[in-house]
Amino acid sequence: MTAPTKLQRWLDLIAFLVGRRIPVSVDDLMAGIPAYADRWAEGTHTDRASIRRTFERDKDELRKLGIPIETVKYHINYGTEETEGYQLRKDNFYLPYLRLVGNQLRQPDRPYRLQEVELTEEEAGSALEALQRVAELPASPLKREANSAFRKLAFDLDPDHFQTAPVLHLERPGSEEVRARLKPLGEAVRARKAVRFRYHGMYRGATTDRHVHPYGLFFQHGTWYLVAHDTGRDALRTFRVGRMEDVEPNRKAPGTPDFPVPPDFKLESYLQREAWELGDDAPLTARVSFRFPRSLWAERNRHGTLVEDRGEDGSLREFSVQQADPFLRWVLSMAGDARVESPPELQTEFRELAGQVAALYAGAR
Amino acid sequence: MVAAAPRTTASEQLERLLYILPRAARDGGVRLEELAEALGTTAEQIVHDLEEVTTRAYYHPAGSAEDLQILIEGDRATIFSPGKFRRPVALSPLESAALALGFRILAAEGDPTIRADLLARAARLEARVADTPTEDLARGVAVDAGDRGDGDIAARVREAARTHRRCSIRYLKLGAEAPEERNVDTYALVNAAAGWYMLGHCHMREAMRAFRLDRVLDATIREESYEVPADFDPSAWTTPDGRLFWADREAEVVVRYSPKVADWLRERGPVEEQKDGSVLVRHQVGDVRWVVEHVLGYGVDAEVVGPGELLGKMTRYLAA
Repeated sequence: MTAPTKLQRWLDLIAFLVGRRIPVSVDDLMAGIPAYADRWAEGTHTDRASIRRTFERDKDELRKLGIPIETVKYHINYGTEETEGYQLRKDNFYLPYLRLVGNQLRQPDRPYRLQEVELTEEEAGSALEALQRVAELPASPLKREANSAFRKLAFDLDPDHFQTAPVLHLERPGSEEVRARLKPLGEAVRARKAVRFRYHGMYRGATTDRHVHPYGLFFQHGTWYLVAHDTGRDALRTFRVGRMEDVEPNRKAPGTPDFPVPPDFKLESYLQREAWELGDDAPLTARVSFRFPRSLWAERNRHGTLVEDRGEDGSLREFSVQQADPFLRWVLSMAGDARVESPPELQTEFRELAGQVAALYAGAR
Repeated sequence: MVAAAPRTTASEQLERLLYILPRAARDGGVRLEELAEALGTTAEQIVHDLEEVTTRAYYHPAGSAEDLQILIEGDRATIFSPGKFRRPVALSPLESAALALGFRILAAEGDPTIRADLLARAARLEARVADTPTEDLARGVAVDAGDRGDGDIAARVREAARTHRRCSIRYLKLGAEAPEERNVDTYALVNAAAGWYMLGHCHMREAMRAFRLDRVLDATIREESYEVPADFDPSAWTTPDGRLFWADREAEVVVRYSPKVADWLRERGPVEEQKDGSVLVRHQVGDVRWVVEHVLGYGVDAEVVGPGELLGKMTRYLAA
């Protein structure tokens, strides 16, 4: 007879525990689970210690997978003795029954006494769409979880009943490599474990070793970024995940966070930042005039703040600029539809830049 | 010869089985192919997973799971289980985090007037279907809505696409003298590195067109509805390097990028290396104006090399 596999041990452990009204002691568990029973009953002291460690690992791994095995203190011997046992409550283990308001449950028979959750059409539709969106994100770090959650909700809710917006994400080259790096990074963010990696910085063209405390991951313009406290530079930095190599989270002391995330850290504040808004320099205020109809586009996309609406003559908008170079290149990219009006030194820089670029085409007609 | 077991981990198998068992225990069973599709795996893997459970019969089974009977007949799996595993398991903390993140994506992309309502609804739902607080887990991941506007235009475009209703848009084409009205049946909303696009049938051109969402200045949902053609395949309009393309309107523009920015281009796609460390990229573009703006955005670090007629245009744009 071959030894039960890990999967079989896990299934047995779940089957043994789920739904029991009173906690199960370690001794009862050891006797009831085939993979543990023989060596527990007849083994040496070393065997028993070894099989106990196997159980502890199984329990911890199942908890990590979301199986809510509880450790419970309870009394025996008519309340005179406190002991510890394990429990897997049906209410926690099984998905509650999901029912649309005014509809019958999709699955009419109810094998267990569980909570029933009544959902409106909107709630149910947006829950399914929300999970679809996470699963469809390129290199999504929660793709597997979003797919499995979708399957569970679809057990009671018919996805074909709900209309969702048809969304297609176009993946950039290297998306698989990014997905492979996002997995350990996502785990490190959640567990607050330090991470080491090699990073290819574009501005200096150099590859450096980094040691960081990862605070969060964000997706923008088809690209994943990590926001982290770089311990070598003692500063917050944003790293493009696609430029990382050899991502290595700290494996020591799992379950113990390596760092706290500052309470004032807001990952959302990193979204929709333009290149000229990044950096540690003091910002300067720049005014840019937009020709019509580009002025409509600037207003629609809230680029800067409107200072003067000149109707069909365009508009004047104000920007807070921390890095002049990317800002001037952005204004230049509008090919004459935008120009820097102030401050004078920035205006001069803009004219110089335009002159240098024009010189590249000096011989052209 | 016995086929080798597909490579998988115990946690992946457990996740699949906790779905397979309840799914095959209802409605008189389920087709293996249907299970495989739902789980993103193969029918062979499903059979292998179930065999792991049935082999338990060869040793003393635990608890009341001995009542579990598994029948694989033809292309169908049926489970008889009067006891355990007849419901999917509750959402795990990470599944709940995925749900929370998804709601935040929808809220960020949605109509700003109902954003708070959607988030409140999400919090209520998460509290009811998941036992674990998800806020900490979900807080570590954020997704940009990909639209700098207030969100109301994008929300109307999405709603029109979701309900298959024609959408009137006020569209500002790149380089146009004024915005123009278009009526569009949106077949897909496409997210590329440059942002969101409406991909669908343009009634003015009577042809497929893509409209960049950041250039949609206004949108109105019309009464007319439409069906997405059965043969519509979005992949016919996309390239492997993640952009939209128009085979009948594409022109090649060659751009040289300086060594200073060459790495940025190398990570985006194929380049032609030059001896001085610069790179050449052959852009296939549907709108030459796009490449003009793209090149100017690199300042002196990018230069159009060809076609020749575009070089003169660059000079005129810079003079403006």
